[in-house]
Amino acid sequence: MIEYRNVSVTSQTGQFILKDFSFSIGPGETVAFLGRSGAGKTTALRLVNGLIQPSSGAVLVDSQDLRTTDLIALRRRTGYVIQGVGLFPHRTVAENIATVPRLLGWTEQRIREEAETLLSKLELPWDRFANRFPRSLSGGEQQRVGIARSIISSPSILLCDEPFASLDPLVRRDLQRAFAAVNRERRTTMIFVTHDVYEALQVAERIVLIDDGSVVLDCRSARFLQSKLPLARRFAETLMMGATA
Amino acid sequence: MIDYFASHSTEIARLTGEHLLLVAVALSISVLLGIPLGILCSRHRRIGGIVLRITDVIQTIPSLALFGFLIPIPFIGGIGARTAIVALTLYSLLPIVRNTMLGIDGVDPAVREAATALGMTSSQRLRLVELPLAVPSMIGGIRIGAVLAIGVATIAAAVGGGGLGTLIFRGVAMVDTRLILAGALPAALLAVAADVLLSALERSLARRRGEIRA
Repeated sequence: MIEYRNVSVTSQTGQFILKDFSFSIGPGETVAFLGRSGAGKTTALRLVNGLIQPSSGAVLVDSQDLRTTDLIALRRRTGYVIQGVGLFPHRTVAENIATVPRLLGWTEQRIREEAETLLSKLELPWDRFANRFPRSLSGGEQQRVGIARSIISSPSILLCDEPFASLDPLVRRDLQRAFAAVNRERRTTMIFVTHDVYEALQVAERIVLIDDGSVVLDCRSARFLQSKLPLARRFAETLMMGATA
Repeated sequence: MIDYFASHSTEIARLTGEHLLLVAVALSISVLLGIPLGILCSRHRRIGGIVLRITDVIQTIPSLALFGFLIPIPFIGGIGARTAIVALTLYSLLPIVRNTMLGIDGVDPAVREAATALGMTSSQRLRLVELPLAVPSMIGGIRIGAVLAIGVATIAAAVGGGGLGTLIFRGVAMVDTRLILAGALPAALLAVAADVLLSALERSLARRRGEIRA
């Protein structure tokens, strides 16, 4: 359960980045924050694990105001997948994935078992990948490892910031599928930031359209394409163009 | 020349040992001081700026003058190896502080953010992510500090610190080129050896984690 209560974020120059955000996301719900670059999607996302603090209003996770929550503990049960991946270059694939479990004090045996199962679901065979360093992986492989690292401890919330944006289209589609499948199985509450409607429809059951720091549309994914809102129409059109191309 | 080296080999060996000892002690102290200072610099910009400014200024003092300044200072100064060690430590401090800071600052922001977002405390992030990634750069700083210290240590003889400078100063006084070379050549070789060894270490550490393609 994630709740935004009249949240605003202003830049240092006093301009609004987010303006009066108010809505909540239920447990197990998957939501896409859709919008143009600079709309404020990423800011809205980073509020949830306390990487940014609101200028006014409050963000609540599981009914706890983040201003009075232990952010370190919160982050350990919140997965975070970003475009830049941020794999630790000095650690192998296996060690990268073991990061959060080690912080949580799991036994090495349990870490190994969970990591192996998860990697194979993401189509990275353990024997071939466990001991490799991130630099030797392709972009798609790195992103899979990043996902595995974020979800191995079965976080109750998963935050994704355009995780597939830098991948080539074919790899992106494959990964979206694998990702959606793993998530359906886990029923994790998820926020997925993207500017790609196809991706939003694929991974989320609800779409929150953000423009210029405000929520302009909040609807079930299935209804998004029927929206009459001009910005929603324009996003829907990109889908048609993609289909004919 | 070779005959000269052969006939003085015991003395050259003894002074080389002294020289190395001076450098090793000074370098150990500056590593112990420099790495925490470098971490401090990367954490607190303002303090960092001041620390770097001070180490920078020390670097610009001509070495002979620095030894001169130190002699009258109680406890750390005086005639002998102690003064030499203090001066060498001060000289080799800057590259170590600077490279530690640069190494930490150079960590990819996405990697840093991932560490925070995965729930590392700031000291865990430093210990598990930032410092390990800064190691090649830190070794680079130690390498520069070592080469610098080996060179400057030849001046240590001027304050009675011993080392290969003893031969050089004696050679200058006696206008004996062979004697000067007997001090200067081993010192130069030491510097080159330290450079080569530490460069190799730097590269092998970087390669092990796949930062450089072998």
